[in-house]
Amino acid sequence: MKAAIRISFLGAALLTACLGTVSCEKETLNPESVIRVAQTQKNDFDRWLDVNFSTPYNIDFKYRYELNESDLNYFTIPADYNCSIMMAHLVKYLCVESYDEVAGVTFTRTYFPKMFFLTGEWEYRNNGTIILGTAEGGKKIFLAGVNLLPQYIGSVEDLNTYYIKTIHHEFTHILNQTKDFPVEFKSITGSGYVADSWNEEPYESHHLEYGFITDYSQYSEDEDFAEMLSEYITHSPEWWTKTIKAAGDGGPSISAKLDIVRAYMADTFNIDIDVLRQTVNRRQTDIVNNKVDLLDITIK
Amino acid sequence: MMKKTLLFLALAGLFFTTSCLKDQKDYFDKSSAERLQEVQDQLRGLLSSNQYGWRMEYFIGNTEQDRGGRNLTLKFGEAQDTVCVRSEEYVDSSYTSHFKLIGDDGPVLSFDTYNPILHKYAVPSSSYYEARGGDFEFLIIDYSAEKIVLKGKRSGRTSTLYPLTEDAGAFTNRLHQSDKVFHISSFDGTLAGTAVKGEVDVKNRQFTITEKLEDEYADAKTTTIPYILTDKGIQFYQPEEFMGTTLDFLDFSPADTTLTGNGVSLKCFIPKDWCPYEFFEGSYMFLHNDGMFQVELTPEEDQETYRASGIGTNFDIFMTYDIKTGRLNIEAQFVAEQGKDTALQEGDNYVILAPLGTSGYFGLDGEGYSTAWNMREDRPVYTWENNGRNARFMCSELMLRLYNLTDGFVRDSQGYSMGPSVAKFNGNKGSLTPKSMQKR
Repeated sequence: MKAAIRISFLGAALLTACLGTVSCEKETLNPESVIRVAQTQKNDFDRWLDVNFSTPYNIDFKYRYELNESDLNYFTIPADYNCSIMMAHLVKYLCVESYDEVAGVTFTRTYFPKMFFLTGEWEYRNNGTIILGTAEGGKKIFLAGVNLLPQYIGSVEDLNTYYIKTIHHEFTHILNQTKDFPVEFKSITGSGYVADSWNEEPYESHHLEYGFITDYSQYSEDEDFAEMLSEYITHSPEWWTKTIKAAGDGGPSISAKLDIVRAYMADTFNIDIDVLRQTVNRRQTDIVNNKVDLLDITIK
Repeated sequence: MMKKTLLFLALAGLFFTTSCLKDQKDYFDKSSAERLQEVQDQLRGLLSSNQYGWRMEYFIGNTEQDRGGRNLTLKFGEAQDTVCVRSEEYVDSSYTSHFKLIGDDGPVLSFDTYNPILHKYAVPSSSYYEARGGDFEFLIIDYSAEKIVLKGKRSGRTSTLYPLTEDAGAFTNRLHQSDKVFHISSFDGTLAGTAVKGEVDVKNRQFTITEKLEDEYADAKTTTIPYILTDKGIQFYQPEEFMGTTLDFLDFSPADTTLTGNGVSLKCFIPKDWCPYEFFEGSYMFLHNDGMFQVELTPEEDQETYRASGIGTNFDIFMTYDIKTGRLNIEAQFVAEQGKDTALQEGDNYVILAPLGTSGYFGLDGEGYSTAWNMREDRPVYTWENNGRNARFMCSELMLRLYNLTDGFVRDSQGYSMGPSVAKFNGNKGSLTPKSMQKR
C-alpha cells in the first residue's frame, strides 16, 4: 500500500513536470486589436457635441442607443434625435454653464460627470412606478424619458421634477465623494433616516414636519444632503421661505442642515449657494421664456 | 506489481500524447473581429444599394401576446446613418431616424434613435411595461442581394428584408388598403377534404384553424399561426403543417370573402354590420331617453377601447371594442376622472357606471349595451341595444353608483335616482337609457 502511494506521488510529480513543460514555441501576437468600435458617421449634432461637451469638458454625451449602457432589467427604447438635441442644450445651459459661471470652468471640468446616456421612455416597473434616471459611481448620468421632453419644456417645475434636479442631485454626490460633508449634518435629524420606508406613510407626506426637505431625503444622510442642495438651488427664495414655514417644527432642522450645506460648499469649493441659486433660477427662467434656441446646433 | 506497470504505462501514454510543437492551423484566414468588420462593411453597402430601399416583413410579439407581422419599408442613406421608415399602418407617413451596424455576438443592425413608426411596439408604458414585443435591434442571420434575414434580439422572432421594387409610399398605402379589406372574424371550410373552422384575430394577425368534429366535446386538432398581409392575402410566419396540409400562404378574395390556397378553401364571415375599430373615432350626438349631449370618442393606446368624454360633467367612461362583432360596448366600469387615468372617488367608495337590468339587479359581468350600425358609411348612426352577453339579462338603464372595494356593495349616496354626489351625467342625472349615437 505504501509503495502504491509513493508511486502515485511520483506519478503526480511527473505529470506536473510534464504539464509545466508543454509550452515552448513563442507565438507573435496579432497587432490588430480584436475590439472593434461601432463606426457611425458624425452628423451635425455630433460635431456640436464635440465642440460643446467633448472638447471643453471631456463629457461623452451618448444619445444613440447602446444596449449595454441601458439597464437590462427594463424595456428601454432609443431617444429621439431632436429631443436629444434639446436635452443637450438643457444640460449645458442649466447645469454645466451654471457651475462654470459660479465656480469657474476648471471646477466643472474636474468634477462634472463624464458621461450622459439618454433613452426615450421612462423605465416602467410592474408595480406602477417609473424610474426617471440614475447615476453610477459619479461618472455616468442616465436620463430616461427624453422623448417626453417637449411636453415638460414650458414648466420649470416639470423640467426639474423629471430631468434637471436629478443632475444637480447626482452632482452633489460626486462633490461629497471628493470631500465628505461634516458629521454634524447627520446628527441634526439622525433618527429620522428610514431607508426604503421613505415612500410609505407617515414619512411620505410628513417629511417636512420631520425636518426633511423631500420625502426621499429620509432615505439616508447622503441623499438628504444631495436633496437639500438640489432643491435649494432649483427653487426661488420665496419658495424656500414658504416651505420652511410650512414645515413648522421641522423648519429649524432643515435650516440648520442648510447652514452646514452652505458652509461646506463655501469652504470646500468656494461656491456661494445663494449665487448658485440665483444663477440656476435665472437660467431656468430663460429656458421657459424661450430665450435659448434648444434646437440650434450651429457651431459658433 | 501489476498496478505499478499500469501506472507507468499510463504515464508513458501521457508523455507520448503531449507534443510541445504547436501546429494548429487557423480554420479561418482572418480573425473573428476582422471577419465581423468585413461583414459589417458589406452589409453597409448592401443596405443602401437599392433604388427604392427594402421592404421588411416585421414580426413582433412577446410571451404575453404574439402580434403577427407588419409590412415596413426602409430606405437607408448612403452618406449618412439615416433610415427613412414607412409602415402599412400609417398612410402617407414616413419618419427618418438613425441606424448602425455593430458587432455583438455577430453582426447586429440597430435602429438607435427613436422612430415612432419602427419603435411603435417597443415603447413601454404603464399598461405594457414590457412593451408590446417590438424589436429594434436585430442579429443578421443571413444576407444576400435578394434577402436579409434578421432575428429580433428581444423577441427572437425572424424578420426578413427584401428589395423593394416600387415606390415605398405606393407599397405601404396599398398594403394599408389590403388591411382594411381583410376584416374577417371567422371561417368555415375544407382542408384537403376535411372539414375545418376557425377564427382570425385581425388586430394581432393570428390565424386559428380547428378541425370540425361532429361531437363538439371531442378533442379537435387546432393550431394558431401568426401571419402578415400580402398583396394577395395572408402569408404565415413560417410554413406549418396542419392535418397533412402545409399552410404557407392563402389568397383572399374580398368579393366572395374566401381564403384559398394549396388544397384549402375557406369561406370567411364578416358580420354585415361589422365596423373596424378606427371607424368609431370622432364626435357624436348621444341620444338618450331624456335628451342628448355631445360625446367625443378618442382611441386608447390598447386599440381596443375608446375614451368617451362629454357623457358626464367631470368624468369619462370607456367603450370597449369587440373585434368579433365590430361593435362598441358600454358595460359596468369604474369611471375615470375627466382626462385622467385615475378612478373617480367619493370618500372611500369608487364611482361606477353600471347597467341595471329589468330584473332590478345590476349587471357587473360584461352585461350592457352595444352598437348596431345603420350600415351607412356617409351618415353612420349606431343604435344602442342589449349586448346579449347574458341571455337572462335585459338592460333597462345605465346608472351611476358607488362601489366599495372592501365589501363589494353597490351604493347610492343621494337616493335612488340621483346617484353619487360627485358625479352626474350631463343634465344633472344619475341614470339614463342610451338610445343611439349619431356621427357629427
